[in-house]
Amino acid sequence: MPSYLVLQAARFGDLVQTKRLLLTLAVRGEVHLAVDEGLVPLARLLYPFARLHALAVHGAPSAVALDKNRAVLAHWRGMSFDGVYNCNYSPLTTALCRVFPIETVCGYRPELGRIARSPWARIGFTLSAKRVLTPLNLVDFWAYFAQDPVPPSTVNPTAKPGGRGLGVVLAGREARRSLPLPVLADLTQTAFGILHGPKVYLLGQRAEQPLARQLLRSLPVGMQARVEDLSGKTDWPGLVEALSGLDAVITPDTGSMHLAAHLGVPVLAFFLSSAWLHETGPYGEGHYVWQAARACAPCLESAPCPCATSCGQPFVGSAILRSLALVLGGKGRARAVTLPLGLQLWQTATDALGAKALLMAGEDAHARRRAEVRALLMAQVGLPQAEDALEAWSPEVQEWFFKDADWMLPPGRYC
Amino acid sequence: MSLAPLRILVVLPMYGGSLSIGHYCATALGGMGHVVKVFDATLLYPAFTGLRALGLPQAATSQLENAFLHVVAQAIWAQVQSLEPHLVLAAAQAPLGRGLLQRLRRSNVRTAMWFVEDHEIFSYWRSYAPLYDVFAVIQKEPFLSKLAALGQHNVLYLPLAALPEVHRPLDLTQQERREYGADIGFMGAGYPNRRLAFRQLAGRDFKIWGSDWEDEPLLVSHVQRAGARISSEESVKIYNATRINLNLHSSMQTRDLVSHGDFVNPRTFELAAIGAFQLVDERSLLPELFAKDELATFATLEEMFAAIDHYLACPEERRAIAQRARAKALREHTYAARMTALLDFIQERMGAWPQDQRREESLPEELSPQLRDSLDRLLRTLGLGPHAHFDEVIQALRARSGVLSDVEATLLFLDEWRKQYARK
Repeated sequence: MPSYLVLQAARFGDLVQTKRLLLTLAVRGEVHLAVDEGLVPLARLLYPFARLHALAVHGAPSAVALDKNRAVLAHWRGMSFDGVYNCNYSPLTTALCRVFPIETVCGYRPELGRIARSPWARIGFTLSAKRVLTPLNLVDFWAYFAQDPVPPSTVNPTAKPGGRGLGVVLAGREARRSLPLPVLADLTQTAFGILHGPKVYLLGQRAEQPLARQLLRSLPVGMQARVEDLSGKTDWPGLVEALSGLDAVITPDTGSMHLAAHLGVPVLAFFLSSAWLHETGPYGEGHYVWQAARACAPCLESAPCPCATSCGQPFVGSAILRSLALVLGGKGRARAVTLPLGLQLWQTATDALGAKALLMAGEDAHARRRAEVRALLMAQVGLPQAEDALEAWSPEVQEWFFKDADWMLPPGRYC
Repeated sequence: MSLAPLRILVVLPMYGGSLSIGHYCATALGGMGHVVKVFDATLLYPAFTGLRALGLPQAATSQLENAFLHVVAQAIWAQVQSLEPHLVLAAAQAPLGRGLLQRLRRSNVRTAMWFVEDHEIFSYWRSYAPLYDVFAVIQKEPFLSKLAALGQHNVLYLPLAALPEVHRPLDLTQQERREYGADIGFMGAGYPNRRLAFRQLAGRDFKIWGSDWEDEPLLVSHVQRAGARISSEESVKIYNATRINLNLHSSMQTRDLVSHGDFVNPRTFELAAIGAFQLVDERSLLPELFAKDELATFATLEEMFAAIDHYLACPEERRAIAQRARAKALREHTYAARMTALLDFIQERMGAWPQDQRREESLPEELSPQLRDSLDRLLRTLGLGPHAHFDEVIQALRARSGVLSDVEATLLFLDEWRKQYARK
C-alpha cells in the first residue's frame, strides 16, 4: 500500500484547510500527517484515518523541542514514503524535507539551498500578486498538490442547521480582520431574534475573554441568560463539541470558521481588511460571507492600513442587519438583500475545480476577469469543461499567467 | 594552520590552463581547514560560446556577450552575498570584471588574483591588476616594477606548485604501463619551439600527449590519441609511466628553441612531486626553487639529446634525482605552502583577517550535548575544520546534494527556526 506524508506546519485554520488533499491521499494509500504538536489532538479528531507525527515548530527554539524533531526525522529516515507533500513555503519544513529523496517531495522542495516550487505552487504565488482576481480557495490550492483530488462536494457536508444554537466567534488572530464589538453585538442580537432565541455560545481564546465580557454586557439583559461564554475554556475536543450541531456561526475569517464548515455548521462570515473569501472562505455548500470590497481590498495583513480600516464602515448600520435577517430567513431571500457600497454578500458553492462563490448582493467589478482566471486554472489542472473558455482569456490574464520561462523551459520543473 | 578558518570563494575561469590550478588552490585551502566555495564558471561557458555560434552580426554578438558577462558577475556577487567570504581568490582569467571588483572593494571583501600567466603574452593585467587588493605572480622583474608603476604595490611572487593528493607516485598496472609508458614522453601542447625541437626524436620510443600537434608529419606517429586533450588524472599516469619526461617550456619563437625564460611551469612541480624523472630546460627562476642535484636540466637542445641518452642508460641516477626532487616539492612547493604564503601576505599587507565569533560561541544553545557530539563528527564528513563556525556547517549542508541524515536535517531546521524567531 502506498504511503504519503503531508507536512502542514501552519496554524489551526490551515490544518482544517488541508482536508481535501488529505482525503485525496487517503483514497490512495496510508496517510501520515505531520503537524505542530499543539495541533495533534485536533488533527486526531479531524483526520482519524491519518497517522500523526508531532513536530515542534510553533514555539521558540529549544533543545528539548529540537531533540523531539530529530527523533521524528530519524523515524522518517527509516520509512519509505511514496510522496511527501510539503504544504508550507517555509524554510523550516523544507529543511525537514531534506531527509527525503528530492523527487518524492511535492509542492515545495529543497533545491540548491533554497525552496523550489512546483508549477502549481508557482501558480499560487502568481495569484497572490493580484489577489482581487483570485478564484482559488486555499483548500483547493493544497488539494491540487496531488493530481485529481477528490470531488469538492465530498469534502465538507452541506451547511445545515443542527438545532443546538448560535455560535459567535469573538475575533480572529488579526484584530484588523475582526468586526468592532458594537457591530458584532448587533449581529448577534439580530441572529438571536431571527433564530427565536437559541442558546448562544461565545467562542475564542483566553485572550478574548475581556471581549466576551464586553459583548455580554452590551447584549439585552433578557438575552444574557442564554449566552454561554466558552472563550478560553475549550480544548480542541471541546471546541469541536461546542461547534457541532449549531444552527449557525457568526465569525470573522478564523480557524473556528473552517472547523464549522468541516462539521457542516452554517457559517455567517464577515470578511474585511486582508480577509478574502475567494482565498480562504468557508469550504462547501451553503455558507454566507459578507465581504468588504473597497478598491483597496484585499489588503496585505503585514502592511499598515492607510485608510484607518475604513473597510469596516459598511458593516455599521441597519442594512447589514437586514441582510443577515434575510439570509437566516432562508428560502432564497438572500437574493433580495441590498447592501451599502463597498460590501458584497456571497454564498458558497462548489464546482469541478473546487470552492466557488456566488454573488448574492453587491457589485463585483472583477467578476469577468476572475472567471477567466478560473477557466485558466481549470485548464491547468486538466478539467475538460474549461477548454471552450480558452479563447476568452484576455491578453492581460495571459501575460499575467504565462511566463516566458515556463514556455521555454521544461514543463513540470521546480523553481 | 596558524589562521582561524576563513571563508574563501575561489573563482575559476570559464576555460583555460588556470582552471586546474584554481581547483588545486581550492583543495589546498580546504585541506588547511578553511571553508572554500568554488565558483565554477566552466558551467556557464557553453552558453557563452553558444552566443557566438548563433552567427549574429558582430555588434549584436558583442552586446549579448557583454550582457552575459554581466549575468556571470551577478552570479558571483550572489555567491559572495551568500558566503560572505573573507577572500575572493581569482584564478587567471576568472570572470571578475571591473564593476564587480570595485563592488567587492566597496564591500570590504578582500580580493586576490594568482596570475599564473606570462605577463608578456597576456597583457590584460594592466587594466585589472590595480583593481585587486593583492596580485600574485609567477615572474619577478621587470613585471614587479611594471605592476608597481600601475599602483599595484601588493604584489607577491608566488611560483607554481604541486598538489600531493593528485601528483603522487602510482602503482600502475601492466596494461597502464604499456599504454602510457615510453622511454621518452612529453605531455603538453604543440608550441612552435617544441615541434621543432622534438623532430629529432622521431623514430625513438617517444610518446607525445596533448593537443595542437597537427600538421607535424615527422611526429605524427608519436602523437597519442590523435592529439586529444588529456585529463589531469591521466597526465599523472603518463608521468609515472615515462622513463624520461621532457619538460621544455613553451615558446612561440623558433630561433632559440630553448627559450631561457624566467617563470617555471606547473609541470616542473607536478613531475617533481610525483617522483617522476624529468629533463627540464633552464629557467632563470629555477635555481632558487630546486638545487642542481634535484633536477636534470639542459641549456641547449644538444644538451637535451645527450642527457636523454645518458639518463636512459642510468636508471639509478634518474631515480635518485627524482626522489630528491620529490622531497623538495613536498617540503616547499605544494599548493598548501603557496596558499599559506598568500594568506600570510594578505594579512601582512592588509591587516588581520576580520574575526568571526569563536566556534563554541557560534553554536546555538538549543544544541543538546548529543547533537553537539554529532556535529563534531559531521564536521569531518563535510570537509570542515574542527573550528568551523556553525554558519559554515549550515552553508556546507545547504550545498550538499542528496538525502541528509536526521542530524543534518535537524541542524538545517534549527538554523531556519532561529532565523524565524530572530525576525519576530
